Amino acid sequence: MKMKLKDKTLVIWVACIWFMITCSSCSRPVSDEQSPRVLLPWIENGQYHFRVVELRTMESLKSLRGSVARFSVGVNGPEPIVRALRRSDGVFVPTDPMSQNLLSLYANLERLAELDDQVGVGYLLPRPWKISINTNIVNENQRRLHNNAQYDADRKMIEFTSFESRGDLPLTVNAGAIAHEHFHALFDVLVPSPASLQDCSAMEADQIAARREARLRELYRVRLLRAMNEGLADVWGWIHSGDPRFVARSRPEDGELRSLEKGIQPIWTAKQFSDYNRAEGFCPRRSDQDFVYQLGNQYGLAFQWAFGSKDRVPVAHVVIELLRKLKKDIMNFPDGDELKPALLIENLARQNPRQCPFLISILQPKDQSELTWQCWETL
Amino acid sequence: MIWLFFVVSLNTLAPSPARAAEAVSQPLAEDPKDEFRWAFSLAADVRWERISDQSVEPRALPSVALGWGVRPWLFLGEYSYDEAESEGSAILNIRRRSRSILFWGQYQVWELRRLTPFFSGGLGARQEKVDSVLYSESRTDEGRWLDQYGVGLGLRFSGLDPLWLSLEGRVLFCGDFEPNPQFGTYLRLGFFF
Ligand SMILES: [Zn+2]
Repeated sequence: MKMKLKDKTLVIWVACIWFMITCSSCSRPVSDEQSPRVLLPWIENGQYHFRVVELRTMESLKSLRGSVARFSVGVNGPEPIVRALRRSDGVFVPTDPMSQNLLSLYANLERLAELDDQVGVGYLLPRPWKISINTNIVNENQRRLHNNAQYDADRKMIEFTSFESRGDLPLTVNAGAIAHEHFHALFDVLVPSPASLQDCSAMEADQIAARREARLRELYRVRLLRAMNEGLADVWGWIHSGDPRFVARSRPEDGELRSLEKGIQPIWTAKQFSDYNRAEGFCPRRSDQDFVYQLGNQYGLAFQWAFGSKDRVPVAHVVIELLRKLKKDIMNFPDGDELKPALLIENLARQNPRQCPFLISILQPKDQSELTWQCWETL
Repeated sequence: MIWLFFVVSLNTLAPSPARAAEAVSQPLAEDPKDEFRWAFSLAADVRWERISDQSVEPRALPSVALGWGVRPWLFLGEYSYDEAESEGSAILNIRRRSRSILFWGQYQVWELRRLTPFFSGGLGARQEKVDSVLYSESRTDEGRWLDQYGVGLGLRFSGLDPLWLSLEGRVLFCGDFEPNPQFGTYLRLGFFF
């Protein structure tokens, strides 16, 4: 009895080892499927639902490698790793929040790349784009930011901070927010950025006095372009997502300021914008002042009211044309004195003469006369 | 395939009631512990796996096992269940669940007075489920059963017969493990009957 059992168990033991060796190829890893389909939080008709999304350019799901984007944890960190289960119908379902965020981010970037191609700017930003998650970004008080994102023009990288679960939609899932950051990359290559400002924190009083006016002019130019950049980036966010309140979904504190679903606001005159600029002082501590976003939102609302009910892809064409024209204007006015908030609206009117009456109506009386004249000429 | 293999091995190995009775009724002169004995155990199945923040952390799963032993072998069928805390925010969160069945064979190399070192090899299957919530929508998705297998090295303490304790270091392989292979330890309290 004892011997018999031993003999049999030995046979089973050998069979076990043989089975393990031959079966080592049974479980295919999750990573090597081309164009995987993934269940993700996805926006449709302005609402988020779980949807199966095909990642057409994905090469490795597990290390999130595809022709559109490459990811790192921190700006110089390792590639993140995605965990997902595979349903019997072949659809992958992320099994932790980070994986869900990353896959949703990739899916949105893929659609944004398609939009770039559709409007003829696909060649501008070499792919794969660089994306950093869990990035350590600090504010002017050296406090680490959470639930935030930025486009880093020096590194040519979109950077997301870590997400603190506060009951809001993570930025990496928010289609509008992802498109907003991507637009900054487009703006950066299409519109020449002004020379970076000299660091003012260590300047002596007499240096400040000598440079005050020149510095304020520089600040005016930098902030006006920033307002245009931020405003049009929110328009790009709406074009991609169809969601005019995408900011509020992830950053409720900025939601009202940047909502594209409110009454039209008249565009500030150069004098009004300059007054806000001066009020911030020579060496402001904060870099992203509300008044910059306020003017940006005036641009955003102008787009929303003029084109909001139409197919969104042609609006993307309009935005790109506007950037190309802005580039010419900046080259023509190197000192920036002629740059004024109404410039963007004037250019928009020239490109879209049918919108002239509406666009004139949102300018202040001082800026209206010039645009009226231009519109008459075009018509 | 695994199931078929197990059923075959079960039929081959499990003695018929008559033979089992024979084994019990004919004590072996040299050592009574050489007879066929059923075994049961409760354990903490600790596995090192990647978590949402990308680090690799240990996770302890409760595990039960049932099997039989006849020296130098011990065969056990193990079931481990894992249900993670829900992660994410109030409007978008994920909870992961997994269950794992493994059939192990332990072979003792030599027997010291009370400590018995052993090698082990196991194979089985594993399934993951995930509960996802987005705003007011919630859903559960089930993964396919995936083969998993492993090898281990352990030490069994059996000074309090029929109770025994064992600690085993394991390397487990499965297509959806991250990292794969996965390292683990298995701390078990068992008894023979
Ligand atoms: Zn921005």
